[in-house]
Amino acid sequence: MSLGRAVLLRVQGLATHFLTGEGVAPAVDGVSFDLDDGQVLGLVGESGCGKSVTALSILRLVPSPGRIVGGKILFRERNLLDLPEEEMRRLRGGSIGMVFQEPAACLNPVLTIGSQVAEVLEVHRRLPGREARREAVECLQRVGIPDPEMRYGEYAHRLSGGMKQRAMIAIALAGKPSLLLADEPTTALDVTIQAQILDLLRRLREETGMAILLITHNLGVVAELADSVAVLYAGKVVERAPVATLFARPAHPYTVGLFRSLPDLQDPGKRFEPIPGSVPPPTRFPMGCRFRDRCPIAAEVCAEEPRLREIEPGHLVACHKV
Amino acid sequence: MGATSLLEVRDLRVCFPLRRGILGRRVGLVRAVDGVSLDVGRGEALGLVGESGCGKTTTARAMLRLVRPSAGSVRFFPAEPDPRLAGILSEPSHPAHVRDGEGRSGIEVLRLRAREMRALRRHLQIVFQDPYGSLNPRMTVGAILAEPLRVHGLSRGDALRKEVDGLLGRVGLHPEMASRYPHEFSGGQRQRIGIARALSLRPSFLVLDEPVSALDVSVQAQILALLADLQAREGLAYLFIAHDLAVVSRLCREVAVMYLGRIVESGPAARVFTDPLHPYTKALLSAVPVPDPTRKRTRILLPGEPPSPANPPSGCHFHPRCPVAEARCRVEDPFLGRAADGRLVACHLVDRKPLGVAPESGAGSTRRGGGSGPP
Ligand SMILES: Nc1ncnc2c1ncn2[C@@H]1O[C@H](COP(=O)(O)OP(=O)(O)OP(=O)(O)O)[C@@H](O)[C@H]1O
Ligand SMILES: Nc1ncnc2c1ncn2[C@@H]1O[C@H](COP(=O)(O)OP(=O)(O)OP(=O)(O)O)[C@@H](O)[C@H]1O
Ligand code: SF4
Ligand code: SF4
Ligand SMILES: [Mg+2]
Ligand SMILES: [Mg+2]
Repeated sequence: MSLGRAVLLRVQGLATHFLTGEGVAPAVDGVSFDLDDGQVLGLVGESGCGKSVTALSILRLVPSPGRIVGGKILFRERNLLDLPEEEMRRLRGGSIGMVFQEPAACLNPVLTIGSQVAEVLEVHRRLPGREARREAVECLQRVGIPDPEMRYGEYAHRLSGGMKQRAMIAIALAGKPSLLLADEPTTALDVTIQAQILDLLRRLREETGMAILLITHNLGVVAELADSVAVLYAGKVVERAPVATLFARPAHPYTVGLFRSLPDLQDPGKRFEPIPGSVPPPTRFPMGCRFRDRCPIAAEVCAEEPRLREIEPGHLVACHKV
Repeated sequence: MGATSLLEVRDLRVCFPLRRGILGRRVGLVRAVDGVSLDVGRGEALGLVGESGCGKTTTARAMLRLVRPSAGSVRFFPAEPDPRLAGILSEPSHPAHVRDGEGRSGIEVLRLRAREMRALRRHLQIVFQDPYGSLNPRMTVGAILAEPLRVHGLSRGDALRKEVDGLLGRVGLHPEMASRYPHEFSGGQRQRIGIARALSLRPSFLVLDEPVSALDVSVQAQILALLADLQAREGLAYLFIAHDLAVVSRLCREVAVMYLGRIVESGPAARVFTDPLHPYTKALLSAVPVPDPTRKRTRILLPGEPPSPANPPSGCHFHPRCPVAEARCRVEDPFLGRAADGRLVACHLVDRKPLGVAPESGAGSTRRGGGSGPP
């Protein structure tokens, strides 16, 4: 896979747990993956399976009562979990940019969107005020915000959902990150603007070697942008493969179910088959394979936890029956 | 006309001043919604799609009076009797009393007083696009779901608790989660809490603003199945705003496509999505990402800048980016007319007849100009 490329990010056995009233919630539980310079890794999986918590863990922004209880996060070979907070702050918004899933969680309601972009430019790229302002307008333009000059002075609540999302992308990209954590970056965008944003990300990775951890529910977006995919279920990676392999030969029963529930614009009458049941809350994950009580081919062996095994070059699956 | 209409929106307009600096100097006017007309039938699902920022959310908010329209009309014809609204429906002299073409009495939503509006809210609910900003962070999810039921006096005590558990279950969440606060949930879980809250009052009309955008395809399919079920069993009607066209086509029989504050095409989803007439709809469809990494597609790239609603292009709003624009498109604004198959389209290159010339069977009285919804 890596043609002499350096591993930019190596997540090893990451475990992030929440201490809730109902007990320990192992929201992320032993997640591992590598990301090379210029690569795009798609992170997919059912709602609540731990995608956002994984991304927040990388930035050490896990909200309380959550804690990273195990594993390593190596960014350019340094374990982020050992860095002093001071250095972490320099990385956030600088070398590591993040597009948050919900704009409200990230955009400051009392600052204009333009000044929030300019702030990144001043802090992380040390541009003087006037230059930062000019460049910020350019950043807004690059992500397709109409009238960037005029919109510079707008507050988040006056923007449409998709404009907020684009403003957030502008903020994340302003620091010229070498790693972008993009949590559902295009959900609020129509498909034409989504295509523009995907083009922009593709260009940036080609021109600057930016790597992207792309969290998305949209398998179409994964197909367009990702080089490889990790499928998460209930806090664990259940399948990992190059994108073409995963789409051609999904192996884990959960992944297979995911593909079956895809809607098809060409065939709106298609019977849709959601995976029965829902992800249990993390305090109630079953022992053994966590997909056990929803899996159509579960057997007795599944009471034991399946390990990730390579079933063909680069294609790893955690299932006893594959 | 298909189903009896539940809501009729005519020539709705919303403007926002664009201000600059601390003194709030006005530097422009955003015409977010620029003459939109729509019909939503009882138990019907109308999809509303279009470019980000084109005014979909604002249209929906204006219909529910969450933002003030500068012009237009929103008429509601209740599907079931409500004693709190009877006074308006039976009193022709009430300022909000209206009648449709068939003599049914209804309510002009934009003319209701605040107190009357509160009574109406129960029937018209919305799931907000941004679940994070719309859930009170200091209330548990159980309390959030119970509040509307209590306020409207629909349930209490043990029955209330059961109702809340049931609501959580319906959207695929565990009843145990009722004691948690909104920030303890994932994005998609929060989105489902928003849906549960809106359903709690058993409204007859529900705006769903990007309700499944944070959900994986499997949970998405569950929620869509739930919505389709409520539609079939309880006659719930939807205005369904979404960027995922495949999702829209699953739930909605009718769809309206918006561009820069106006409707440019509307009609049966099966027609609009398979054989689009308006060049913007064509571009939109060609840009849908396909879940197949081996497939290379020809996308109609829209050149140029996304348009500014504060300074819309002359003539056809779409002309600077339209791949087939002609000279007249720059000066002449195309009217929204009826194409041969009954669809409504606003484009000079599509053969169409003006609306409201020949009287249509049972259509509302003000079907002219601006735009209009599905027949
Ligand atoms: N602050 C918190 N306290 C307790 N539990 C939490 C907290 N934040 C997240 N969780 C739980 O951790 C699990 C993983 O959440 P996460 O946000 O990572 O999911 P996700 O995969 O991003 O889902 P989605 O696709 O819906 O955004 C969920 O079950 C969630 O309820
Ligand atoms: N409260 C407000 N104050 C000022 N301008 C607003 C306000 N709400 C919306 N706007 C403006 O109105 C226009 C339409 O916004 P709207 O939110 O309706 O778009 P949308 O179609 O829902 O887009 P999206 O798909 O991105 O959510 C935008 O230019 C937006 O900036
Ligand atoms: S290990 Fe067993 S339960 Fe888990 S996915 Fe495989 S077959 Fe299903
Ligand atoms: S009226 Fe002209 S510019 Fe507008 S969509 Fe039709 S062809 Fe394109
Ligand atoms: Mg998430
Ligand atoms: Mg919106």
